[in-house]
Amino acid sequence: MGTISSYGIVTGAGSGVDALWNAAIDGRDLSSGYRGGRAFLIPGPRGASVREHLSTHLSSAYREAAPELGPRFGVILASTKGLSNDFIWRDGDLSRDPLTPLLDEFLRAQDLQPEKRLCISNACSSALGALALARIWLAQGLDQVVILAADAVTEFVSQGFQSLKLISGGRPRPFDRARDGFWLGEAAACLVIENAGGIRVAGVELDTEGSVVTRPATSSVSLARALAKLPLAPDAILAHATATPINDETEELAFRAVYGAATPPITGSKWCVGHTLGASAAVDLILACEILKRGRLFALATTQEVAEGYTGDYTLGPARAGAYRTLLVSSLGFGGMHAAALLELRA
Amino acid sequence: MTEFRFEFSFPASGAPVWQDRVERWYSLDAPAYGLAELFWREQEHLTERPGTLFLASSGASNRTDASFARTRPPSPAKFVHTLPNTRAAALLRLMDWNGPTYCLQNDPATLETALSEGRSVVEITSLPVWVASVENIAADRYRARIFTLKPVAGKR
Repeated sequence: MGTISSYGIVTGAGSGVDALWNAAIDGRDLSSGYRGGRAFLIPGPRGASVREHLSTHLSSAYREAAPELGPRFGVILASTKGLSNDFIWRDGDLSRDPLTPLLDEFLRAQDLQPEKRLCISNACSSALGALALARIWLAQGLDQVVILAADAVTEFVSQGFQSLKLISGGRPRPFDRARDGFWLGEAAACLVIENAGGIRVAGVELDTEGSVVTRPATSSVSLARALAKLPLAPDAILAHATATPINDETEELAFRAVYGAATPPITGSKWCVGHTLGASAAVDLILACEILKRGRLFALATTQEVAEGYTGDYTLGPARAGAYRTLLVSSLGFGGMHAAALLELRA
Repeated sequence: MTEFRFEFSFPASGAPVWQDRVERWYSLDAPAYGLAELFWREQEHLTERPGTLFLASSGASNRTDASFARTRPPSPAKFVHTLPNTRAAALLRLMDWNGPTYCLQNDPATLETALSEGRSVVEITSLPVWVASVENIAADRYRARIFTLKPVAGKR
């Protein structure tokens, strides 16, 4: 149940889906060297709090999506840690979660009064969690669900990922034998889910594992379980592709386990956009819709030599044209929260 | 709906009984410890596993965030628990369960929202749902709760 009827986005490429698409297809790297902290990657109002910053860009993404909302709609905000800065260093109320004030501010700014609203924080798979919940809300009778997804690279986030040593020392090279991590990025995205025209959400599967909280189990069993439950095989894959040794290994093993050694063509977006954390799966859902509509699969432009023993069909060369009908988006999250969504271009 | 609860002080005074089952149990934050301990204490009453798990994260991980922000140099072990969904990892390990899990926030109505979503999912799927929550009730005191929601017999 559900289609992605419209969407909008702001990233390091600027405002709009076309800006993001052009960056990916041209092989431009939008966040390498960005260290986060005091300055935002995406320009915005001077002196703004993280909440104000993200609210501004979510409003821009919402305007691009331009939904025609019916009387019964819901709004879900997906995010992770970008907003924590306001609470930790700007005297926030520690008894209140930091995401809800952003949702409140957005709803006020757009003068929206949804029937249902909440925030979801499922680590890097937050936006796919939101998509799964949106389908439940449609089944309950809502006309539309607006998914908002946003995150920022604040001091808090930057310190955390530096401490985990997941930041690349050079360029992020997904599935490369010399991969060493990612750069962080920012994004604010909006997707409108309803039962109407657009790209069909053929399936969304969430899976969990109680493994070590910072990495998936090396068996890849959890992601493979999610993939195996999807109703159709994909024509192409937009992988999580963080370029960390363990993430990419897990995806390679899961794709091989479910689709065999001859996988569909695989690409990813984080080499270009950076890892946008709670917004990252929303970035990929939007790019997946564009791949399906445009019939072109952008490459892993920074990857030079695929890791030894990997059998996946990684897209290293120029963009590949193809009549893609189904596209998989996969996501791996800290705390063992993994997810996969299958989108379908309808005739 | 059945509620299971456990109030506790954190840090705990000793190693938990389940220490051998959870890697790096000593780095868990209060919500993660509390949910794991509650499940362990009530496991004989929690034998029917859910179809879906909701984590009601009131206050998100703000206290863990503040603790991480004070640490110099920044501790990776503390940082991973600043993602509120990670409070489920030890619980999942002890449950030996996998499935759809949603970490929700909607303060000041986070728990009510999670219970409402849980009821909706029970109705749609006809499968049981668990809602897990941990609240800070005093300086170092917490209350962990697991609510089990089951389909009404004969209703589909």
